[in-house]
Amino acid sequence: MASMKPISSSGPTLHYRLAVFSRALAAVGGGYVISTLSTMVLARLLPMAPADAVMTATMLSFAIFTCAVIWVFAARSAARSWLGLALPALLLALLAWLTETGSVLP
Amino acid sequence: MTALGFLLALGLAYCAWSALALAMDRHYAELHGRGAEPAPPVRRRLRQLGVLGLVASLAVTMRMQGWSVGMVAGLGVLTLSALLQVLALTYWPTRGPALTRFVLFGLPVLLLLWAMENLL
Amino acid sequence: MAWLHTWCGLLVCWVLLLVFAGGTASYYKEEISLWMMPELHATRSAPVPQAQAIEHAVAYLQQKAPRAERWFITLPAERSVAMRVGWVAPAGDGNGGSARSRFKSERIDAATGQPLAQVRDTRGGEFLYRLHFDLHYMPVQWARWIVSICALFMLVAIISGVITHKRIFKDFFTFRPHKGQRSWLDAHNATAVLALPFHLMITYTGLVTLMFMIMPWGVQSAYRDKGGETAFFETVFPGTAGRVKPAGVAAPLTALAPLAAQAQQHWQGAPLAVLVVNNPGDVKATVVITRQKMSTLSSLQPGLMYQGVTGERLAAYGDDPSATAVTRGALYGLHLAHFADPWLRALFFLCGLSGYLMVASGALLWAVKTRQKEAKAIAGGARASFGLRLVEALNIGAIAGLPIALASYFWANRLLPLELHQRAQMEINLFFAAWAVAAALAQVRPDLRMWRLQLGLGAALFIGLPLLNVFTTQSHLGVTLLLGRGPWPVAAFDLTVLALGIALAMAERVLARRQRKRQDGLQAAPAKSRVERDPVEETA
Repeated sequence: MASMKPISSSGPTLHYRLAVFSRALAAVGGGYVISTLSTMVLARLLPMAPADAVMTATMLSFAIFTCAVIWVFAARSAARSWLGLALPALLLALLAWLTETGSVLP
Repeated sequence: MTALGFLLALGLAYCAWSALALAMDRHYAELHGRGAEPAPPVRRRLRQLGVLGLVASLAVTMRMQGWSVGMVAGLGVLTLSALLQVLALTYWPTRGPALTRFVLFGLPVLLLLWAMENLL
Repeated sequence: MAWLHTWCGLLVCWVLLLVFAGGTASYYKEEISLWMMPELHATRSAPVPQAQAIEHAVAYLQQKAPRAERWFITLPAERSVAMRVGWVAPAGDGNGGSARSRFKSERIDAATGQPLAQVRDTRGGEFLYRLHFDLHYMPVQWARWIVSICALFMLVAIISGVITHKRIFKDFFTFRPHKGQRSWLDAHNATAVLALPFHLMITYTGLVTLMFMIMPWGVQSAYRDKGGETAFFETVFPGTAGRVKPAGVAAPLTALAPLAAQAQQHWQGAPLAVLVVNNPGDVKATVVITRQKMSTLSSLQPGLMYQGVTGERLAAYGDDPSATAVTRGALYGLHLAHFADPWLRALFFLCGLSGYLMVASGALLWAVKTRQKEAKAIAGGARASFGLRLVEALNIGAIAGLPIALASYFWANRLLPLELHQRAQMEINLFFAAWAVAAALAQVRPDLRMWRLQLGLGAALFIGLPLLNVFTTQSHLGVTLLLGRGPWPVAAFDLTVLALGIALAMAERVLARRQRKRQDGLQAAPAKSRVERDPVEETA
């Protein structure tokens, strides 16, 4: 966020405001999506009894959410923050689909 | 947790925080004049004593309540003693060390009483 | 990162103040309940034998709710005085909706089996406990979602706060009073960093207690082909087991006391917690008995399920918990702090107060900073911005208004007539009414005078509580403390509210001095600008 010029003579620029809004969306929406996907994947893939895997995965979800949000606001630009979420999300979605259909993974 | 054990842990942690504070430029300077800095060996020794005191405080609470509950109680004691230390440093900057010395001399007595309480 | 910390904190801070206030009070919810039922202060009865207590409860429930879907019998625990029985009224009969809305409960005397009718109707400390996650006047699902979202924001605020606090070690012991904005920053840093383990723990564990609601996808995904959510919850929460539909065939319920004795033997004499009877009086009745939480970290409560008519043991849950179950139990247990002895409980209470002050100082810091940023514009004749005015008003309403609300709840408990219809709800209504008035007044005039008024009122109400006790009960400080007759928790309550009241009074005095200094400054230099009108900033 340092690379942008946040304040013009009349207050925060529109560009800045949009970038912030974009990041906020990525953080909340993208963060929840990532934590949901990782919970689903971990719940099926963790090598423990099903109830235990579910509990562990769910307990970890908040740490994952927080990390996602921190990433979004630490990334050098809003676009980069979306990319940084989209790639893991796609990977997790693929894993989730594979485990759901049971074709490749348990 | 008994009152004796609690006070012992609190006293140990309080003195430990004093040592750690004194090892910092800002609080050392409050006592010895602006710009004064503790010499490196002094700083090192103070930090070592401080860490030792914190560990000792945790050891007391964990002895009283087991590993898990004792750790939780120990962190609570560290919080309370740190708060008291901040108040001492803020409102009694010059008399702080005297208070710490007072607590320090009380510690062996507390330790003895606590040990007796545990053995009986 | 600092921006993230500020906005995550600011957006939810006023809800968090409520959560911290309610949650911190909940550490002593049973003591608060005892204080709020003075009729129980004199009775220092001997503990009732378990078998007798159970028999009395069953007889009472048999008479009061023979066709209920489910009975709950909560055995008197160490810190409780009376025995609680509950039931879920059968659907139809004019009762509609979910089991939760058909749930009724009463307190009975374990020794006589009669309802404690002479005890005033009050929710006691349970209200404050429920307040901090169920809020009030709304469906609990909404409230828990709101609180969960605020908790997530707080978690992000904590982590971003640590990241952005570059001088976290250098400033560890720093507190510089009387320096305006810097002092507020120091106060915020101190209350946050010194109790950081607590804040991190309480936020994360709070989320864990609600985790299956806000993150159900793991359960749904993994248990889709294993019996669905119900199967998972029966494994994890054995108390909910045995909820089958009744057969519609009447059959007498077996005696519960021998089952309880058996269960206790199974757990090597550990005390029992709750007996749940599903479908009492039906042939498909089941009895689930759970063991009390132990004084270890874990909140796990193993359970035994028995057939309700034959008394045959059907299943045992949770006797050999996996590492993960133990972890979850520990995280849950850390939040509830049932394991805490009096000293540790006091430390938790202190850390909770620190949390309240952390949130408050953060919100005040923002207001002070923003007012300083706008000082030039305001001096030039502009009004304070909408955001600034709103935050300043909300600050007064929440930070000074909550103590007023809490004190009003306790005052209502002593002053409302005993036979008042829905007395317990009236006490709660007065809590919110007082808060609403404080918040509304704050919106009208969010300035230094309003701060002084509300802090002063809170102080007066809190300090007045022990005095009120003298005139309305036989168990005031003169008896409990000076004569040493106890009950000790009641004395401790009186002393605590006294201390809190004195703290509020001291804060009011500090503000009074500041106002006088400012007025002297104004008289000496009458050309001073409107920047003096700001509520808290010290223009040193």
